[in-house]
Amino acid sequence: MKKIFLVLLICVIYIFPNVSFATEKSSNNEEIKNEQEQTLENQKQSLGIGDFLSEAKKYTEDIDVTELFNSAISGNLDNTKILKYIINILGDNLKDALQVMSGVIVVIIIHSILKTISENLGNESVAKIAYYIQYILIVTLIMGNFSNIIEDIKISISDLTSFANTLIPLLTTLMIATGNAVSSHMIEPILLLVITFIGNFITNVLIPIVLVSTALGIISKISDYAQVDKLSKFLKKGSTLVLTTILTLFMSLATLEGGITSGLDGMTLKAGKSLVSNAIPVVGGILGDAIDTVLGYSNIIKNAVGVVGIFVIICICIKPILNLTALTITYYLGAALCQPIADKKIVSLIEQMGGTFKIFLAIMFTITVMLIIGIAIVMRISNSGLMYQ
Amino acid sequence: MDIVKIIGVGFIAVIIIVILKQYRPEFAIYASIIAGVIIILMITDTLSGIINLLQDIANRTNVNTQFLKILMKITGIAILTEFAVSICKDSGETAVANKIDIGGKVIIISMSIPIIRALLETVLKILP
Repeated sequence: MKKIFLVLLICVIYIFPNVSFATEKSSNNEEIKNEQEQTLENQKQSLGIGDFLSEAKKYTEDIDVTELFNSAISGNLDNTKILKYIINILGDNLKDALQVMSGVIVVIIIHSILKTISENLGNESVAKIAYYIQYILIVTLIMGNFSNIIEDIKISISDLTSFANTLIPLLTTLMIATGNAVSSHMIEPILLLVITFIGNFITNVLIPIVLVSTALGIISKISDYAQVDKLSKFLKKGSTLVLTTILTLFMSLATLEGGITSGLDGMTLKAGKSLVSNAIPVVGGILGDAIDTVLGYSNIIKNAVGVVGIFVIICICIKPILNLTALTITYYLGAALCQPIADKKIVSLIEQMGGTFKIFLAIMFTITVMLIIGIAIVMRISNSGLMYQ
Repeated sequence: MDIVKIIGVGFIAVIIIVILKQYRPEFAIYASIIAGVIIILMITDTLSGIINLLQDIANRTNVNTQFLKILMKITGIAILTEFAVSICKDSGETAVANKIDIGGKVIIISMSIPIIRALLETVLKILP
């Protein structure tokens, strides 16, 4: 009798609580989840993420930023859509560039046919004028969309700087929300200043210099006598050098800034937390944990904002970058294809245009990489500040 | 077999000129001019075929056909000028030949003015 009772007792103890635990736990989980979502929503609203997202929407055309932001918070970004977008743009640009190149090749072929006729006439000036006309035709073909490309580049650079001017204050606000007060005060003015300065410098100084060098290169191929090729090459080389110097300076500034201050922030944060949890009796420990939680959520949001920011930056600059990549590839390919049939000067003109597009590509890459690295550094600084706890 | 016809016309003209030179040397120049005109007329068909082909190629791409036309016209003018100049030189009139040459060059340059302007405009458009 006693044994049966014991067995029953054990059964009761083992079976019933099990069931009740399970249900209680699951409901608990959901509650935690709800609470998490609520905290995230609250944080989002109080930190003014909505404004930022609507701002970001202006720059991305057919990609939903809000959806991207939410998926960045939950940690599952969908890459296929972005990849499709990029490949579509690249294909379109390659097609356009190839069309221009095929026009150039047709002009060269027509000229070489006419040249065989006009060269036998023993009339030098005719052959020369025919060469000029062919040259001018090729130049007008190449230059047909050149000013559009320059305009595109300028617009995307100004977009990038203005977007950085909205993104970085937000990121620094979020840094304060994650408790990196010192870093944010140090880094915001410097980053903003440097990015605005570099953007203006590139649009107002570097691009005109490259344009002048391109014009010089075009003009110096018209005749055999007036050659200013070296000057144009010098200008191009100089602008590349300036570009690399700028990037190096920016990188060293940003890394130095981040490295010095993030440790300080971590210590301040830790001190504040221990102050809260020790000074306030009874509920102090819970409050300290709450601070931790809020900071963690802010950090998640901040990182998501950073991811969205990087994404928007890529969206802004991807069009000119892909366009320029396509153009560079096509022009070098065209120069290689034209070499057997075309005049030496024309081949070098096409090659030089490829070089110009390559410099523009370098400019775009510099700005993009600079901004992405700036944002990544801001993200990393506050993450490492949080790690000190 | 256009080339055979051209060669035939040329040989006949040469024979006529050689015969004429013995009796009436002043008529020999007419025979040579007529032979040249006939040969030019014979090759126009072939030339128009070539030009049609070039235009067809140009239309398929987005080349500015207006400029291509000028290019072809200039080549045509050059061919005609050269033809006239060589006839003048054959008959010993180098001065007239030079004048025709200058006229051809001036016309060619005047035709290429819009192209030069287009080039300058594109270069100016690039400059900031």
